[in-house]
Amino acid sequence: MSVYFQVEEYHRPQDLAQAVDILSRFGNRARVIAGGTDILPRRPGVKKIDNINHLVDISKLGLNYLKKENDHIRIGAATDINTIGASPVILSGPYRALSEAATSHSTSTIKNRATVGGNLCNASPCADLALPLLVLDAILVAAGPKGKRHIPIESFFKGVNFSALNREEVLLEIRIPLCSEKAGTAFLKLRRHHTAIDMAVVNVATLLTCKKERCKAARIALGSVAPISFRAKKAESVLVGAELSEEIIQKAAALAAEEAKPIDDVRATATYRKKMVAVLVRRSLENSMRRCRQ
Amino acid sequence: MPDSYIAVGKSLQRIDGVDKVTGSAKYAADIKLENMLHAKLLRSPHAHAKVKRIDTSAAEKLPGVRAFATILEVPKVIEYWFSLRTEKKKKQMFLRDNVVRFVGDPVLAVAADDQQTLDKALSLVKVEYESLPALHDPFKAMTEKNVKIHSRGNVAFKAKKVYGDIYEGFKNADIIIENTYRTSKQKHAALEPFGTCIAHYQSNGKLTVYSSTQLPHWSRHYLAGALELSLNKVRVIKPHTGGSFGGRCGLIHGLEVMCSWLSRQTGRAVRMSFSREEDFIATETRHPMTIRMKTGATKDGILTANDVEIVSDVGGYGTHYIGVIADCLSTGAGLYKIPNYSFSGIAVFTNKSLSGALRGYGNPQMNFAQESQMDIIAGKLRMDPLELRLKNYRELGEIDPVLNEEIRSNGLKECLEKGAESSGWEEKRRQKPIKGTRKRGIGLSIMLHGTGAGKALPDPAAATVMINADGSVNLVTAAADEGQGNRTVLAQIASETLGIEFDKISVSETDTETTPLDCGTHGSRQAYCGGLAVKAAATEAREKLLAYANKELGVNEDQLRLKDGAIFETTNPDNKILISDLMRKIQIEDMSVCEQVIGSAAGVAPAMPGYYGAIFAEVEVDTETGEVKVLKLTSAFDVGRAINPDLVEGQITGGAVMGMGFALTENLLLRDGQILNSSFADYRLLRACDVPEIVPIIVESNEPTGPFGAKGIGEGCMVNVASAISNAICHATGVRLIDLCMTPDSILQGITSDEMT
Amino acid sequence: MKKVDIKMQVNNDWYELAVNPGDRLVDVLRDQLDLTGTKEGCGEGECGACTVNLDGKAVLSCLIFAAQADGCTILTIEGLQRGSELHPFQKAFVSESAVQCGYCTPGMIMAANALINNEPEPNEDTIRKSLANNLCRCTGYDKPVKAVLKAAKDMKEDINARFLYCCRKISTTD
Repeated sequence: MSVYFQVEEYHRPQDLAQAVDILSRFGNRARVIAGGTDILPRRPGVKKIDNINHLVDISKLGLNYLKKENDHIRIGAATDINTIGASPVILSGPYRALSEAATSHSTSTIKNRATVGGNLCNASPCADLALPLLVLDAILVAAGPKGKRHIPIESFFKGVNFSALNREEVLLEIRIPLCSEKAGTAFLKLRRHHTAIDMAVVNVATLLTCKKERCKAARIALGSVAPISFRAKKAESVLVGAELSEEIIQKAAALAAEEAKPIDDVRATATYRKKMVAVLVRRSLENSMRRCRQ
Repeated sequence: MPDSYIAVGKSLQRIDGVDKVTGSAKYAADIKLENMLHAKLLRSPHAHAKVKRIDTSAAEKLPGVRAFATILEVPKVIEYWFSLRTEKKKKQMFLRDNVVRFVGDPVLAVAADDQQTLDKALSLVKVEYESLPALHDPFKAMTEKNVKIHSRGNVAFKAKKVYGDIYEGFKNADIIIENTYRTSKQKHAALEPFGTCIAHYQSNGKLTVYSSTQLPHWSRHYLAGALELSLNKVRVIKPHTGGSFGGRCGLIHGLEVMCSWLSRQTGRAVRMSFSREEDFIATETRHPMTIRMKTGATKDGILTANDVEIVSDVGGYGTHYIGVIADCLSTGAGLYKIPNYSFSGIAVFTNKSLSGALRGYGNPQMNFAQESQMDIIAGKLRMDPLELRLKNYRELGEIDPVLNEEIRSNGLKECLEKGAESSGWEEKRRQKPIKGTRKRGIGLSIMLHGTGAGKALPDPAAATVMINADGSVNLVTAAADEGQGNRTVLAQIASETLGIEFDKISVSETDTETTPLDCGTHGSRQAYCGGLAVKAAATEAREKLLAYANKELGVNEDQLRLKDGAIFETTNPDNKILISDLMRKIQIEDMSVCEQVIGSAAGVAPAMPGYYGAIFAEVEVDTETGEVKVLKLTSAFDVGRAINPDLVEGQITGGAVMGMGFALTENLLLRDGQILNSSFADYRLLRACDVPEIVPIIVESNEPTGPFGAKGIGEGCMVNVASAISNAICHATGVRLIDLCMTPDSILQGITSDEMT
Repeated sequence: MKKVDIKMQVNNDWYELAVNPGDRLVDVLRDQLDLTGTKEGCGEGECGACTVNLDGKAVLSCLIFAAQADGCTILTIEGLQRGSELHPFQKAFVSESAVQCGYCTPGMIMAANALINNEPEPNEDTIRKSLANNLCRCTGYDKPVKAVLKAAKDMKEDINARFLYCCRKISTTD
């Protein structure tokens, strides 16, 4: 058994400029590698990697950090997912959904190497970390030959395994704007049953902030039920300004299910997924509601 | 059990444990021979096609490409060792033609210097196919006259057996339950992929094959037949194996024969190693079955009739389809006393990957149907499912109608009683459902499985015991250890019989060159059949020891005892001699004797004793998502005698988890003959964090024909897990599932449709 | 293709190797260094048979290019024992009958080794989670988990043994 694609050259740039230069030179034959847990298991003909024969290793570019600053939490793109899951900065409080997503992403052995940047750039519709970042209005910082740019996460996912990054760009950092300490976020993942570790059949993240009993802000992000991770905005709109109750949450959950466009695949049927969106969104909103009231 | 046993009944450390934990145990892929070539198969992308033309000219020009072998000259092995019985049938075992019958069926093999050259060479080979209509549904294939998957048609095998009068039986029934059950295409998914082979055909005409096979001697026969060599020119060596579960019962389709052919052409050692993907798509799976079962019972819970119709999906080729169907009959009709039984089994070829032997053979499928029926009947009669089993199971002393043999040991009742007590069956069965969306339930099922296959197939067992000059022992056996630890068990039996300490016994490598003909490892047979051969060989050696001791100690053999490496007079223990001293004397010191003490035995076991089990499964069902969480499995098994209790527990626990997978998560999904989930990412095995508490309970009924009372455990431990879980799900939710595997979707649909009615 | 020069420490020995850019760590360990104790069960990071320790962490060597291991410290199953003295993990897996076919065993032991070195007294739940990437088809996981618990206990009681067996990255000048 061996790697399914032919690697011509393995590049180890010492700085960002070098990395960008290599990517520019080799175009669609080059690809960034951080942990490597997504690129190596690829089979021929799958996920558009057949042309890749140059790898650009960004592990020496100092992109492994997680820090809380005045306005943002800043996470380096090459930060491994175990570190994110265990970080006291996000373990409790309003960023908890990110910690929950990190914990449920995969096994700890994989997460020793898998990075948040990898999870996002791979742009799988099932990407776990995309969902809490969507509800937290994260901003992605990328660098290319023309310099740096900021991409709001909602514009980042373009299609199945297709992100807004250009070929010569490197994802540097994820920025989460600090939000109210009272915000309640939650993340839930449904797998094929009785397996604690699996790709999602359906995954969701929610955020609620409330004042007295009224909802001020609501965010619902859905995964695995469309070509990209996205926010269920119709469902969100029934919550904003409403008095939070079991009924309104059920209504929002049902609307979210309508917004989902799942397909049949080896893991589940579209019909089942649609039903589960309603169940998971309802449960996640209930968690968010409980957490925002604390 | 006698306290004075030195080895039997003790959880002694397995003999290969240290090699495995240090990484020094060599598996097939770890072996490197000098000047070794690499080989790979080109596989058909079509489910059914004729190969019209193969053009290797471009590939041949590539430097480093050494040889090609195609299906036009290399035979496929299409039947199992039952066909070795006559010369005529033996010829029918080998098929040479230009047809590919499933997606992934090998077309040709190439040998080259390295992996990269192989891939390049295969990309340059041109194959012209004539696509043929493909049959995916066994029911359609059965009646289809115009498309023949094999020249004899699409029905591989048909069997019908009737006991009693089925019409009378149903007339006397107060309730009749009829359902059609469907089971899945489960994969062995052993950690070591099927398979890796290194074949070396030397210039002296001798072929040596390293391959993890469960049946080294039969594999030797198959290779000898395929390459037209005499048996003495074929040597099969089985290195350490990373699990088999029935999937290596003989040769792997396209592996060893192709590899040997290439070696013969090149005169060099050739290694072929399937990837995990190839393992999933192109090696044997369980036979998926459709089982229509109609069962009748009186209102007092006595079974009066059972009508069984099985359609078994063989795939493009299969070597085990006869045995699998026979197993359904034998385990079904053997377990319960049903006076009127009609059994019909049809094995049908389809254009899917091959079906073969997988732990339990046909029993897990049959058991799912039968134990579901029993549970439904218990429900209808408002009877305790446990009581229903006790009223109907075939008891000690009765004659098994299929094997025509008396049941000489039967611990099923004890399994049920101990399992019920340990699990809290009665209390949990009566528990009122808790409020909320999570529902709990408990279910039970029982099973019978045969030990060995002596009544159905050639089942030779053999062993040689050689006592060395220092009193240590070399035990020679072709028992193939797939992980279950049978070589350790056999050493324990030898140790006990000879009275020589266990750590003085070494077991031979599994090599046909130096071991006598033994069927190998399948059908839960090694502890019983292999054990009997070892016991007989050790007994012969023991008798020789005693004869020599008689001369030394001046005491009759019947007054002597062997224990802990010494022979002593029973009534006067001080009159003794160490076996080491005795052996040194007669083997070396006394130059007029110079005889090593050797004992041998070869033959077939006297019976095929059934072993029994009862499983109590506790589940919690999330009624909003259909997810099932198995909370606990209590698994009680009658193994006759646990030669090594830890190894038996290991089987029970491992079998429980594999059974859970069969029940809930494992199924190869196909579309137009293409397997969609050919990796661990989508063929879900259960992990350490997924498994519930498993309580293994060992029951010992002392089989009189068995070595120290032992029977088997290897397969039975997974046979009735799915049915127990299904019965528990029904108790929890009222939903009866009749298809495996039981997905959350199917459970949810059952719950929702129940709510609507 | 352009070979990559790497330097890595494997089981206390430093190696300078020229590897193919597409070579994975598992290929270099098994084929170039003849350390066949690390197994390949799937090549896709799902089965865990290829688990080794890299800078003290459990990683899947089939998902790591050899080039990525440049400058790193690797520990494989062969590196656990000291001469003929077995490591507590190895002893426990044998004594608790936690080995059946043995194919998953090296990977499982290495995953457990990384856990215990970071968390000396894990409970059963933590052990099961850290073994989640180590598939086993034979044992049902019960006895291996018990073996890890026993080894952790034995290692705690013999603090010297823990120090010897602990493998953290020995810092080198980069």
